[in-house]
Amino acid sequence: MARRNQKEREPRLSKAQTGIDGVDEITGGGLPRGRTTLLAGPAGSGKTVLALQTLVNGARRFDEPGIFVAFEEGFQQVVANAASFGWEIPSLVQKRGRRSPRLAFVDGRLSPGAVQAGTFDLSGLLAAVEFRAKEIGAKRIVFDGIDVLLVMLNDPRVERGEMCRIHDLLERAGVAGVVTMSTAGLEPPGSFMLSLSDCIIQLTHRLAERASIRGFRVVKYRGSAFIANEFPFAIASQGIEVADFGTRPKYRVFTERVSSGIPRLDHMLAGGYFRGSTVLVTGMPGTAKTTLAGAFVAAACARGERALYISLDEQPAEILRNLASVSIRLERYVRSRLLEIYADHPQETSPEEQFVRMRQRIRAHRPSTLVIDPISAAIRMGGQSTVLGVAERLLAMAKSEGITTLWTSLYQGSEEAMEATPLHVSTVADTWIHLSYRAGRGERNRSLTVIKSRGTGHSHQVRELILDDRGVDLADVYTVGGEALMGTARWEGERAEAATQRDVEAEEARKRRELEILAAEIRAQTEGLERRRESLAAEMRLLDQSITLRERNESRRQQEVRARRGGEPASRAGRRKGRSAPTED
Amino acid sequence: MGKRPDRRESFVVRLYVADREATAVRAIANLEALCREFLPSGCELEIIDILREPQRGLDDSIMVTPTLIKLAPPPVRRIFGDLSNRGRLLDALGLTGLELSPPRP
Repeated sequence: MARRNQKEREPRLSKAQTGIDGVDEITGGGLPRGRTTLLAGPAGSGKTVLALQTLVNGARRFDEPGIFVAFEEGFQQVVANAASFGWEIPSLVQKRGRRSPRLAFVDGRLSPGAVQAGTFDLSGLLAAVEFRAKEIGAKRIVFDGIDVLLVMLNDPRVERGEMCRIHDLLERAGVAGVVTMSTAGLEPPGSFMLSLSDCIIQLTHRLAERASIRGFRVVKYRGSAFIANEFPFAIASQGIEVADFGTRPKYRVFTERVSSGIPRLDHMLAGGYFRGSTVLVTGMPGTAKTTLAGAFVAAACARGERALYISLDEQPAEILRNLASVSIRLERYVRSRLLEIYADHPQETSPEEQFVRMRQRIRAHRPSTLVIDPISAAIRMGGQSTVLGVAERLLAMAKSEGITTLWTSLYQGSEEAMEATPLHVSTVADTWIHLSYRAGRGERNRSLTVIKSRGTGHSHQVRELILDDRGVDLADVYTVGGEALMGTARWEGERAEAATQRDVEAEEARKRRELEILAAEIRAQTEGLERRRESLAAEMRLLDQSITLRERNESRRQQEVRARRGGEPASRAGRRKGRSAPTED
Repeated sequence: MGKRPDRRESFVVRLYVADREATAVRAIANLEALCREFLPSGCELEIIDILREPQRGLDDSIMVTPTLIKLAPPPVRRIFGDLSNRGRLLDALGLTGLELSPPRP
């Protein structure tokens, strides 16, 4: 509330952008104009780099000339330091035709042989700085290493007086003033500077499990909102890079699938990995994590997409050779620059620096597919929580740019304990594939399990991963009593099944023959019966004929009997019966 | 230390001050007194107000004021402060020993 009221009363605070990603976001737009910003921190914490980078960015990008007042280092030293970050100080301090230089340097060091004889003040220096500021139209002024000056003054009263004068000068000139002060924990005599400054940024540098961790924190910012958390940063090849500034990146969610490079794995995952998703491949040494990564990269390159393979373990040549042995040939993609293989050595740098370097490679190469192999190598150097933080930020960055990321992680423990291992960050990964060995019957076989895959109805079955000179493939599952069989066991199982199959076929054939025989027998029997029926019919016909004959004879005999007895002729009666009257006697 | 300077050698000093600050006034007074006492043959003194002529201050890399630069006789020496510490001043100017037998007028 108080802050809001203050805001309403005071005119809007004008800020000078530092041009450093992160620093500007955290400070809500940069450093205050017409005010003093104190950069405090121990020696080597990056105060001078931050101050100089702000000046150089101002001169080069924002058309704001600046003055660097050095109490500690000479001009040549500053130039050399700046050159290591690619900042060309000499060209900036030169006049450009009739235009004044964009950067001026004022040496605030006492001449080495100077003798002190009585009290003094900084009027000389301040007059020189103010003069130069007017001359080049400075918008930014840095006083670097004011602690050196304080030691020299060696009089608390004078110190306060001079600090006030520096503060007044910066306010009067309306410039964004930066004062750097080396201090271990902001103790006196710098404490007065703390209350005088309008904005205080504290820089820290510490070691965590032998890894260098740099931190950046805004302690105070009068009249402005700021993010008060500490943010990690690195001093990289182009100066300070704030690794992450807390703002959650927004990212596109894709429904498109990209191939894993292994058709049967794609099938298991209902079409492949989601574009822009994060795939974690864990496994023991030699379980073909790199092969899986290689297949994924090869598939991306085959689609004509750019890929970046960051190896924290093997050299690019080793990776290419080893993958070629399983028919994953990446050389052509490296040659066509579609694929970049970048090897970094975690032992040499802190996780933060690695992160910044990886980010630089990603920004330079602009891949759609990213592999980090293996992320676990980073643990060798940094603390696990730091590595985890770096990994999360890297993945968030990749995700925000729609990059599909596959990272491998060495896992040596038991499968049961795996879910609890923090580095595997199962919450970060969208798809988690675990590779392991199944040992038994004197051999080890690689197996692949999809532990999880968000948004995908994936197969939960364990598959055997087969590597040979024809490539990578998954073998069909052969389950016996709920156990997936692999390797020789699978082969034996398959053979046994084949044998059974042959038995079944033989049995069927036998049965069929039996039935055929039976059918034939029945057919034969049927024919016999038919023949019998026919003979019976014939017999019946014969019987009928003999009956007819006998009746006719009987009828004729009766006619003859009647005729002899003098009765009427019996011929009509015989005809009435429908039978042609036989003429024979 | 140091050999006695040749009195006929010209003594050239340049004093940078800021406006009329207390330190500036004191430094000028101290320097003039010293010249009267130790350099009766006179000395060439140039007083520069750094607020009026900042470019000259830059040229000579004047950081603190007052700053006295002894240009001649060689070697060139720089002394800063209000010159109230006479012992150090004489030592730096190479005039040590003279105050032991001051030719007071």
